[in-house]
Formats: sequence, C-alpha cells, structure tokens
Amino acid sequence: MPQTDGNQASDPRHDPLMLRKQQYALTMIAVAALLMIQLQNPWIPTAMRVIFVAAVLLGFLRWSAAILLALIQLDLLLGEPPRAESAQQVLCMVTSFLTIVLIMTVSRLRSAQELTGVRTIRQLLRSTLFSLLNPDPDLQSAHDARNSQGLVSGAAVFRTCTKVLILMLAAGTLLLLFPEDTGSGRQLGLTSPALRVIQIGLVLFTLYFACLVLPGEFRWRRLTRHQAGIYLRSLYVGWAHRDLRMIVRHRLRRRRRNARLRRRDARKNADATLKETS
Amino acid sequence: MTPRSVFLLVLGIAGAALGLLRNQSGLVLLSLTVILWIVAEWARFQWRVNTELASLTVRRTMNDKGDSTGVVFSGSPLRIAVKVACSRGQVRPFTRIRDVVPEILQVEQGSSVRLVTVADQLILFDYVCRPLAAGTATFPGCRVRIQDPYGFFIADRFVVQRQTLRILPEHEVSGNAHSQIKRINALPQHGIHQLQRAGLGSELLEIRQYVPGDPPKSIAWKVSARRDQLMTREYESDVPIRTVIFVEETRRVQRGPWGQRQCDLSARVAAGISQAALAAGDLAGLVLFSESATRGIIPGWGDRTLYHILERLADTCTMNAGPRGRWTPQLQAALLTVCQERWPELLSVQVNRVPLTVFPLLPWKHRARIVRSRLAGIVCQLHGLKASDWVRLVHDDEFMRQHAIHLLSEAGCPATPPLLDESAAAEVPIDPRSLTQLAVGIRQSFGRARDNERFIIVADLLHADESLDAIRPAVQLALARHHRVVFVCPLLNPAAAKHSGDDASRLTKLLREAWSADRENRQADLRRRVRTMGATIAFTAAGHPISLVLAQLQRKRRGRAIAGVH
Amino acid sequence: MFFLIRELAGWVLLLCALYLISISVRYVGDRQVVEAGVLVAASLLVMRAGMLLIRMSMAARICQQSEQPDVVRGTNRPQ
Repeated sequence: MPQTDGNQASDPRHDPLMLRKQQYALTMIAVAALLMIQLQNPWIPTAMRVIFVAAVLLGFLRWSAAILLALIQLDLLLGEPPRAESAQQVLCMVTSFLTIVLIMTVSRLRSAQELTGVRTIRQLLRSTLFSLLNPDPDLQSAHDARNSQGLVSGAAVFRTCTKVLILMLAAGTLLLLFPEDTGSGRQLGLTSPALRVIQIGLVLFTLYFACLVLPGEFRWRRLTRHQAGIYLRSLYVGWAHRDLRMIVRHRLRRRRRNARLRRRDARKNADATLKETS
Repeated sequence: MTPRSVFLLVLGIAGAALGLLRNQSGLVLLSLTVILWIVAEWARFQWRVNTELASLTVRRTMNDKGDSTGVVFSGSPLRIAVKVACSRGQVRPFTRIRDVVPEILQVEQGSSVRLVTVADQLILFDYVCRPLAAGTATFPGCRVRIQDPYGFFIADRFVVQRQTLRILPEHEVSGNAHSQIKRINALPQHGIHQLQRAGLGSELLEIRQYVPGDPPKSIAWKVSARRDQLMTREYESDVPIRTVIFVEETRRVQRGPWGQRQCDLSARVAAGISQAALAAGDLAGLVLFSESATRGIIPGWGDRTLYHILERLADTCTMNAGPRGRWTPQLQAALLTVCQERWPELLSVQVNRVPLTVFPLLPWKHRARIVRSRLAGIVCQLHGLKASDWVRLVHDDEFMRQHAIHLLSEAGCPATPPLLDESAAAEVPIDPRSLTQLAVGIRQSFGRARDNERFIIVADLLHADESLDAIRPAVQLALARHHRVVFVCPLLNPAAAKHSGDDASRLTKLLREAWSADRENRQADLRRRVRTMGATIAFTAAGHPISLVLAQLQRKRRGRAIAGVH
Repeated sequence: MFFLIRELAGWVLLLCALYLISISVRYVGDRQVVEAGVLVAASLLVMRAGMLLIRMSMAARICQQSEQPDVVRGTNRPQ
C-alpha cells in the first residue's frame, strides 16, 4: 500500500512522534536510574559524583552518546573494584544495561533530530508545559488517546531492552569462553589478564576479518561499470604514479617555457615594428 | 562508518582492553556489549544495503506521462510524480529519497525530497516545478541515502532514471495583426499585405500619364477627359511579407542565471515575433549567427515552421562550453557537489583510490589535492579519458578546468560563477566576428529573397560602438532593395550591487543611477547609428510584452509608409 | 579465463591467511605471543594481497561484461 501522510498519523504504533516520546521517556528513566546507582556508590568521592552528574546531564541534553559512554566508562574504571563480589557485579551489570539503553536511545533520537529537525528535550519540555497550561479540549483528548495507546503497546521500549539483553548475553558468553587463567603463573612477562586480552582480541579480529571479507566480496560483485572502471584506473595510476607524474610535469614545464618564449618573441616583433614605423 | 560509530568503537575497544587488564568485569561487559552492538548493526545495515538499496526502482511521470522525452514551454507548470518501489523487502525508515531536479527548473509546490518514516514497499511523492528558461532539462534520477536508526552507517546511491525535457521558449499568442479600423476599400486576404509600389492590387496607388504599352482598361477616362490627355491608373501591389529573424548564438549571450540571460530574452522576443508573423499569414524564418558561422531556417508557413523555429531557439539557450579561465577552489567545490549528488558511489574510497604522496606537506593543501585526485578519477571515467590523463588532470589546471566545465554544463549548471570568472561575468560587447557573420547572413537572406522582406535583428548591440559599421553595407543594400530592416535590442534588468549596511543602499542607488545613465546614453547612440543606416530600432526589457514591440514596429512602418519611405 | 584464475588465486591466498590466523590462535593458547604476533602480521599481508587479486579480477570482468555505456556523451568535449 502506498505511503501517505494520512495513514501515518492515524496508526499510533507507527506514529513517529509517539515513538520519539517513548524514547524520551526511556532515556529519562535510564538517566535517573544511573544517577541513583552512582550516587550510592561508596568508592567515589562527592566532588567526583557532582561532576559526573553534571557531565551526564550535559551529555544527555546535548545528545552525545560517545561522551556519555566515555563518562560512564571512566566512572567504572575509577569506581569498580577489581574482582568484585557478586552484589557489586550485579550492580555493574545493571549499570551496563542502563548505559547501553541510554546510549541507544540517545543515538536514535539524535539521528531522528538530524534528519527531521525533532525538537531537543528542552523544547519538548517547554511545549509540554505550554500544552498543559493551555489545553485544547479536542486536541488534548486525541493526544491522550494516542499517548495511552502508545504507552500500553510499548513496542519500541520492549524491542530496545530485548536487544540489549541479547547483546549482553553474547558479551558474557564470550567472556566465559575465555576465563582468566590464574593458575599458570607468569611466563615471558605476560600476566593472565594480558593473555586474556590477546585471546579475546584475536577472536574479535577474526570476526572483523569475516565481516570485512565476506560481505565485502559479495558487495564487490554488484559494482557498476563506472565503479569497476575507476577502480582499475586508480590501481594503474597508483602503480605508475611516479613515472606519470614526472612525464606530466615535464610536459607542463615545456609548454610554459614555449609560451614564455612566444610571448617574448611577440613583444620583440612588436617593438621592432614600432621602431620601423616611427 | 560515521564518526559517531568510530568514537563508540574506539571507546569500546579501549574500555574492554583496560577492563580485562584490571579485572573489572562491569567495564569489560559494557565495552564488549558496545562492540558487539556496533558489529550487529553493521551486519544488519549491510543486509539492508545489499537487498533494499540494490532492488530500488524509480519511475517518474511528467504531466502524467512517463515517456523518456517530453516537450514543455518555458514558464508553464510541470507536474512531476515520483514512484519509488522496492522489489525485495520494503523501503525502511531513515531513508531519504531526493529526485534530482535540474537547475533550469524551479520547484514551486511540494518537495522533491521525501524522508521515509514508515516502512513501505511503495513510496509516492509529487511536486510542481516551472522551467526558468528555454533549453534542455535532463532528470538524471534519484539520490537515495539510507542510514541505520542509530546514525552509525550511511550509504548513498544514485538510482538512474533518465528523462530529457525539451523546453521551448514561451511566446505571447497575438491576435489579428490587422487594424480593426477600416482605412481601405477592401480588407486584404490572410497573409497578403499592401505594398505601395505599382502592381495588380485593388487599391489605387496613383494616376500617371499614359505611355504606349499600357493596357487600355487601365486608362482613367474621366480624368483623361478633364486633362485632355490620356492618363493611366496604377494600383498597389498585394504581396506576402517574409520575416527573417536574426538571433545571436554565442557564448556571451548564455552568461547568467537561468531565465535572466540574453539568450532567454532574445528567444522570447524572437518566438513572439515569429508567432505573430505566422498568425498573420506571413512567412517566417530564422538565422542564427555566431563568431564562426550562420545557420538557419528558410521562411515557411504554419505551425510546423513555428515549432521548428522554437526548437532552434531552444538550442541557442542550451549551454555551450565556458570561456577560458582559471581553476579555482570554488570550481572544485562546485564539481565536488555535483559529483556527490550524481555519482556518490564513484567517490567511495574503496573504488576511487588516491596514490600515496608526501607532498604537499601542508594538511589543507594535501586534503585539497586528494579531493582533486578523486574528482579527476571521476572525470576520467565519465569522459572516457586514459589513465595517464588522470595524472594530467591533477597537475594541469587548464585541462582540469575544461573537463570540469563540460561536466558541470552536462549536469545542467548555469553559466554563473564559479563556472565563470568574476571578471568575465561583466557585460561583454558583441564580437566583431559575429557582426561580420551577421552581415554575411543578411546578404545570403536577401540573395534568396524576392521582394519586401522584413529582416529583424534581435541582438544586444549597446556596446557594439564602431564595430557596428561591419553590418552597415549589408543593411543599406537590403534597404536599397526595398526590404525593411529592424533592430530589436533586448535589455536585461540591472543587477543589484552586492553590498550590505546603510552605506550599501546609497552606494547601490548611485551605482544604479550611473548604470542607467550610461545605458540611456548608449541607447541614444545606438538609435542614432541605426537611423543613419536607414533602419529602425526598438528596445525591449525582460517584462516588456512582445505585442508592444510589434505595435511599435507596425506604427513605424505605417508612419514611414504614409511619408512615402519604406 | 585469465580473470577466473586470478580470482581463484586470490581466494587461495585468503584461505592461507585464515589458516595463519588459526595457527596464531594456537600459539597464543601455548603462550607464544611473539610468534603469534608475527603470524598475525603475515596473515594481514597475505589477506590484503588476496583481496587485491579478487577485487581486481572482478572489476576487470565487470568492465568487460557490463552493457552500460562507458562514456557520458556530450558535445564539444575538449580532447
């Protein structure tokens, strides 16, 4: 069925505005939960906590997923004890879960904002306050109906959380496949954590290799003729670039010299003609 | 990959390594999850690119017709409807589809860009545009950009759907050219005009003395009786008039934005005059003159001749190669923009590889050199040049400029900066060689002519000055053979000065006043020169209706006829 | 035929690179990290060579077989 604007607004499950509102709500919940967890962390000094809270809020308002991730990673790096107890590990897992959910929703809202000019959270809050103070009865009832339907369905929230859980399970499985080898001692100056880094790194490298080669070669078979031609030309130019450049520059220098000589001769002839006539 | 995904990946890898080294399981879990998330999104995106993007098809209709070519008049609205379909799967959200509209067309209603927010197999959108000038408009296709929902990966493709539109110059449809006031005994036939020379018409021209050989039935008996000598009646000639329009076809008339060029105005004037002449039943022809040659259409009748003339006029408005000049950063930026729009897949670093060089050392120059090398590769491929020409394009500015301007012209860019140097964009006088060719064209036309031809020269001769003497002999010879020569000088509106601030308004006013005074002086000078030749001249601006020009010409003709001068 | 031979040679090189990586994983398991590092570097080079051969031969085959026009037709193009 062809897509038209009329169909979009009538179906709340596919209403982009409704999905965005769900995502806003989810991010706010994630931020609040994260802050509550971090504020209760006994290992972090108070000043750091204040800075952390301010930085997270700033990153959230400015929609920067990388900054949020960096801050939370820094917090974990400084605050998480090595080889923590079970309770602490559970807390860290919950923190990771909330962080990933936060980063996902912030990234999604940022892309939507870049594409469609979705309002920032400050403008959204301002417009919500305005609509609360100046409610239009007809608009409000339709708005409430859509809101309640959207919250009840919660498809986007459920999908996001499920995705995060699956990814965390995969990461956990990878860690369990390469446990820390504490019993073998030091050899060649290599500690067991470093060995674990190399092992997991190799696995990721193989994954990268597979992802690079297989889809890449499949995509390469779908090249257009122009793409194939330009690739072959660039290869040849790359191999013979120094020689070709030398030839081209030599020709350009010769052409400029000839042009200079011609101009000089023309000037001489003009001067000679002028002298003859005078 | 976008910078966002790169930053997250780097943070993920760094966090995982640090966490493993310090045995911090929370940090490791978080970082590994981020890495796996990016890998999963990448795999999903690749699947989308290989299935969805590869199977997109576009179908465009212009005024409800889906043909690959079409004809439309300049200034008339054009309804475009675009249908984008995906044969495998659906067009998913975060897909942006843009129908590339040629610059000669201006979108007036709707938008040529559609952002997909709900997955669907068929996407429809439409818009209304209007041609700004006569010529040719080519719709190359649609630019499709897909990205994943998190902004990690972007893929651009250009879906080719080529359709060419021929834009004919608009012309005013004139009504009956004959006056409604009855000045003569009988209205002439359609296409017949009265010439005040002896002939076989129905209107009396004069009564003269009888000479042996005059037919007896032409003797005016009553006048002869009164004068007591034989007198003969002479009648006027009823002849068809042939109108030949001379239009300039050089590069200088193609400078400027679409719809505001000399050639646009000349085409509009010429189209209006030919339509008026053909509507009155006269024959109309066209001669196009340039610096090197003349070519034209022999005068004929009817709608077929009119469309033939309109097509030739549209050809004069089609962009030719630009003048010589310099390779500038602005030209490079314009070429890059066009390549990013039309051929984004050719700019991919995987296929368009740049040889590794150390020089230039400065980072911004090095970046500019890399961009130029990529553009050189695209130009090489599209124009079928050799691989060695790739290196020449990188180092030879003139060679690169020529090819860049051709590529931009074929893409439909108008002859404005950066295609033109700023210094070259000023008013340029007509080339003396063009006037020589015009004289040749006039001689050829009255060499073929019979009698009472009307030669209308549509060209901007304000800056011609002394070089106008090149056409004086031809014009005077044409006048001596009882033909009429009329000059129509199309005038463009003055360009606004590019200044800002309070002083700018005073400065702009002064500049405009000086420009207007100079133009008036030149008009008076040109009028005097043309009158000394014996011809007439009319000036017309962009908004000046053609009917006023024709009425002016008609008035002049009748006035001179009354005075006994052709 | 010539393009096919080159493409097959590229795939063979890719398989060799995978084999080298598997050997380096075994070395890491035996805590011989330096040897593993050298093998990984070697496998990268072999992989790049194999991919270059595959891509070059595929691009050449596409140029030969494709029906798309090679040149953007235009009038008065400079020579």
